[in-house]
Amino acid sequence: MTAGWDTQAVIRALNVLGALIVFGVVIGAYTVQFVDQEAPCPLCLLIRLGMLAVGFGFLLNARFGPRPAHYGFILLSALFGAAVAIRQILLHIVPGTGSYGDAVLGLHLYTWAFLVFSTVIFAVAVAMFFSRQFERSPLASPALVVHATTVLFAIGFLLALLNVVTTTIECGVGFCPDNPQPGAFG
Amino acid sequence: MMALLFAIWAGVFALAWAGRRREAIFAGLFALVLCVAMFRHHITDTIDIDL
Repeated sequence: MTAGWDTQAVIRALNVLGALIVFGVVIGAYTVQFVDQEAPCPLCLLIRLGMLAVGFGFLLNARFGPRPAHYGFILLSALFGAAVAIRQILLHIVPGTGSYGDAVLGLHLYTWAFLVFSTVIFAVAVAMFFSRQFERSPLASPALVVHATTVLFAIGFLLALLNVVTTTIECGVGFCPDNPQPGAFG
Repeated sequence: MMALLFAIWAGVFALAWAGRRREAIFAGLFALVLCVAMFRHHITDTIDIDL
C-alpha cells in the first residue's frame, strides 16, 4: 500500500497536532509546578487528567484512523475537563475570593484550560463535517504521521507515569489536600 | 488515589500503543468514570454568588 496525503491523512495529521498541543499544556503545567514552586491542587490534577484523556482520543484517531467513537471519546473527555475548569473558575469568580496560582499571560491556568477544552469541542465539531475521513483509504498513513504518533504515545505514557510519581509524593496514597502547601510538592 | 488514576491512564496509553484499540477505549471510559467520581469527591465548597 502506497503512502500519501488524502483527507484521512490530513485529519490524522491534525489529530497528531491536537495531541501535541494538549500534551504541551500538561508539560507547561509541570513547568509552572517546578519553576514557580506551585503544587497542583486536586482540581488542577483532574484538569491534567482531562488533557491526557483528550490527547488519548486524538491519538486513537492518529493510530487507528478517524472514527466517530474516537471523536465521542474526545468530546466526553473535553466536557469533563471543561466542567472541572469552570468549577475552579467559579470558585474564584467573586472579587476578593482570591485565585489559585499565578496568572500566565494574563489568565490563570484553569482559565486557559477551559479555553483549550472549549476549542477542542469546537474543533471536533468542525472536523466531523468532513465525512470522507471515515471511508476506507487506499493510501497508507504518511511516515511522518506514523512516527509522530509513536512519539506522542510515548510522551502521553511517560507524562501519565511521571504524574504517578509526583502525585504520590504530593498526596501519598490517600486523597489530595484541597489546599496544598507552597512548594513543588505541597 | 489520584496517583492511581494516572497509573490507569498510563495503562490505557500502553494498551492503545500496543494496538489493543477496543480494550483501550473501554479502559479509557472506565478511567473517565473514575475521574468524574474523583471530581465529585473534591467538590467540597459551595459556590456562593450574590447576584
